[in-house]
Amino acid sequence: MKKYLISGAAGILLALCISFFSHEHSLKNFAYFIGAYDHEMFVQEIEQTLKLFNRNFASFFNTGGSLAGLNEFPAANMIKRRIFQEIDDWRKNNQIIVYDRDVFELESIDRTSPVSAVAIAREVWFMTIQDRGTRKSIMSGVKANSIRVRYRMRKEGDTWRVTEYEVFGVEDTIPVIPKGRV
Amino acid sequence: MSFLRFLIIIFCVTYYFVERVGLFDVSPIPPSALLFSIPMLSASFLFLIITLLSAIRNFTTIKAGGWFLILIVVLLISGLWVSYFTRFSGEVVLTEGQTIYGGHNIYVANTLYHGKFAVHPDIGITLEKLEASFSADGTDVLDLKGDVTLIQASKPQKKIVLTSGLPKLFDDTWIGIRDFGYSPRYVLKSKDGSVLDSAFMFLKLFPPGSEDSFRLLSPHTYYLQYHPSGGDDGDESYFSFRITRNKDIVISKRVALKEEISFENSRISIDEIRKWTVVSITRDRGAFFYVPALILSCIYLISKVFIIARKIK
Repeated sequence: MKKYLISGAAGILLALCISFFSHEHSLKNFAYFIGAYDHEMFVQEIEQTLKLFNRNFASFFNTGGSLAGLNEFPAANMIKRRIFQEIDDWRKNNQIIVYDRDVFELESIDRTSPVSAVAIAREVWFMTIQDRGTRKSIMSGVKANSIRVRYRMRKEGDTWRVTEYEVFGVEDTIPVIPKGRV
Repeated sequence: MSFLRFLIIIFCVTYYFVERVGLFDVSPIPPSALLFSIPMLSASFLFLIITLLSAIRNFTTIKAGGWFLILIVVLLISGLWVSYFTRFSGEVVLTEGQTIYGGHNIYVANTLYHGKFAVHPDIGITLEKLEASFSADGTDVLDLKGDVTLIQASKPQKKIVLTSGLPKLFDDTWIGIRDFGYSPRYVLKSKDGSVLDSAFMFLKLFPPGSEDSFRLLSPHTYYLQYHPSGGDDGDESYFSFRITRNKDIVISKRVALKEEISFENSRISIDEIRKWTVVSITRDRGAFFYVPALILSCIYLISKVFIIARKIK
């Protein structure tokens, strides 16, 4: 009986060791699994990432597509492409769209895995369209754009990145993320 | 020897459990990937060797029941290894009216398993019609029934019915269906009404209230919800359509089928909606080994229970 107990314990230990050493960041993943991670630091990291994201986002539009800050912009390439595609569309009409952030309030932050998170923010942006040469507004007034944004984020190394963001109306019910759409 | 075999069994069970819950990984590993992982394959091989060595050593003393168990072990582990080398399995999303060819690279990336000596099934599948039965509140699919045409080289086409139950075997390939959703066909037009683009998009719009999005070449994102039973007032089916350009909501409104939305210099409408399902295609030579092994295991267990019951009486 004792021999079987030792064999069983050895089997369990061996399985745990092989599983532990066959994955990257096993300790961090395990800490997440048992809920033993610094939640406050995680929230701070997400907040800082989204602030940087929105600062750069506005600055790309407001400068008419200056690449300054592109390397530090915490976003997936498809997001960068969408932003510069729109800037280019306005440029073709000799125009610039200016985003001015008025409100940014985080409603919720959820960590969905050790390397992924979802954050929902309430945002208000003032938007104007300007002539590219004179920078004079060609709109009558300013459009106040009140939105809710769901950011999907992924951690790469020690850096969080926005991999996707969805824009909703302020009164919209935010639906669940479809399975398989990470 | 028996302690070593016990150790290997406990190792396999623990390893499977640890990886399935994702104790040290960012997400759980799927069962098929786990069975074909190096630790599981190595452990199974070691178990087979130990079992065979033990059989040779105790050749004269092993009883009929013992040989039966050895046969089961040999078949199970051989099946695992043959599967590892020859199994082909993959899933593909198929919309009504769409045809796919199994030999092409059309499979959803993370569902594809292709053993070193596996061959792509040379089979074509057309999903003619898909019917689904729903739960009372309409949020769950209870059953799926797909009318399918099978196209095989040098054979006449075959009409078959697939259901969401067990997959069906055709020649040496298992084909099954699971999951359900809607594929709307958008029509994008220029301001003057000429069609710029039109295609079916496989979207996750089920159950009603689910939202999915698609993008075309412009920086716009098109968000869609589909309500096939209409709203609370029981009117016709409709879509909740929202178009954004980066952080600007260009338009957000409720539209009917074929109703056009004008936005910026374009017009867009949903002109047709079809259903999609996920078709799984599996070809596995290892089944010739592990299926008999599983049947033999059942026979062995039933006979053991029968013998114990008789002894108790």
